[in-house]
Amino acid sequence: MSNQPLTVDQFYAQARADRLLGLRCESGHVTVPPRRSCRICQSLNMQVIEIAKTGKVVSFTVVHVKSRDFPLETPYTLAIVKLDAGGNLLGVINGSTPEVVSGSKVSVKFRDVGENGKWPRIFFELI
Amino acid sequence: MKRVICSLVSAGCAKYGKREGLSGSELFNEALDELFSNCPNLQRQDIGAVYIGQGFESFEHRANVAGGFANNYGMRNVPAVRVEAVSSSGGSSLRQGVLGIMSGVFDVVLCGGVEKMTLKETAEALEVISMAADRPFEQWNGVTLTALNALAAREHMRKYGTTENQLAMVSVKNHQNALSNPKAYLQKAITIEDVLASRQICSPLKLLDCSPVCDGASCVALCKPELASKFTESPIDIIGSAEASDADFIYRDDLTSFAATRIATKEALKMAEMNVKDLDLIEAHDAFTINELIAYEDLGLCDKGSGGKFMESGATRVGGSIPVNTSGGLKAKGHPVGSSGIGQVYEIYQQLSGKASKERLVEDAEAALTHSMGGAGVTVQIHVFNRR
Repeated sequence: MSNQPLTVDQFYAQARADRLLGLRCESGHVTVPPRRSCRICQSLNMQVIEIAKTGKVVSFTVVHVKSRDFPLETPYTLAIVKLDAGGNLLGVINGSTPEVVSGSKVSVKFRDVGENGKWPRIFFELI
Repeated sequence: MKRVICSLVSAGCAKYGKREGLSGSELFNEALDELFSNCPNLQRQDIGAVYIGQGFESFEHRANVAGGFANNYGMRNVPAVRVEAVSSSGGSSLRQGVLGIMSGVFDVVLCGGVEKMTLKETAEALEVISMAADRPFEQWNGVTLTALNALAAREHMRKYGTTENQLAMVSVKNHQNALSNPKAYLQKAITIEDVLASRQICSPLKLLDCSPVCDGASCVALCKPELASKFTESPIDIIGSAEASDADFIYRDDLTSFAATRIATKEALKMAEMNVKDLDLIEAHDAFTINELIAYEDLGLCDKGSGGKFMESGATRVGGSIPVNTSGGLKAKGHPVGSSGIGQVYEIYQQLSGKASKERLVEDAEAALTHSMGGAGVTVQIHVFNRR
């Protein structure tokens, strides 16, 4: 039996139900996206928790040249967001020319895009 | 007397560029021809093991390159493995060769690197290169390797006041250095204005902030220190070697510094019993201009956050106190992914043996360092060299 606390497939299946799951170790550190160990203290004792889908933009870039297999049209604005509960997510900020700055508050939205939608994609909306 | 862990006795490098009509294996043969002609006392049968760095098998639809390439050149049945750590596949190949010598198992090893990238269109090449990033949470949500470095660049600008001008200066310097390097791909002088006016790739990074898709191959021969004089009168000793890793970019809190570089540098310099200020030149990972500024900080050349100002000081130009990327760097010499880490060592070989062209020669250089990085700081190798 796998000791994986939360698999990628499980994370994205819950995302389809509009739930953002993370992992918390016994010291209270939150790790998102899921992995085997705590991203802060490397603990292997991780508990699955539901966390708030809000956070702040740490940094962003307007992508003009993308990987061929990503289904969105360029340009799109990609951001790394520090979640209020802890942990980070990367995703596209909705809208063609969003007024985004470092520190902008966002909420996480999951949405299926493209034909080969094994998992939904992660988007952010400015709030 | 410093402890020598192994010795570099020869090196070869195929010209970097769009090498139409030549496969990765044929480019590797070109590098091997030069390596053996630079060191007539070294024979193919002296080679005890072969390590070849290759970043991506998708470019030529060929994995498992090492055995095939080594035997192609007549190194029959030699132990040979491919080493992969994307942009630091070459650095990893060197590291494995160093360990092979240090272990006592091999007297002489060959470390190489190769990438034949230009068969692919840019968008397809980017799809391949983006495999350097995490699949389900980075690539899947629109990340490219350029985008990760752009996120680092914007955060460095916000946090420390680094400017697009300072980023551009890295590119201008490295293009200038490439002018006198016959192995370099982009032998074209450019200005800060050219960089700033080049098209956006992932803001704030523009076309001329990014290293080019490129073909290339390179190799070096290492041996036990006590055997070096059998092969050459002027060996270059490796006196420090270290490697470190880090989590994928998405898991990190600090986007503006690469812990793997800091950790490996400290360890390699400690092994070499040296301070970074004792070095005469450095070849640093500059796949994107921001990488070189962050490398100045992580290598300890300047304080955290002051990489841009350190660039402006001129210290890292040829003639400055610590020239960085005299070869033209990955930015202008070219970045054939698997070759780059060994290509850096080729430049150190040229410099410390006084063979580099006089325009870029660091006179009387004795000590040098290479910094090879795979992904956005996920794998790093640091090696310290000293002319015997």
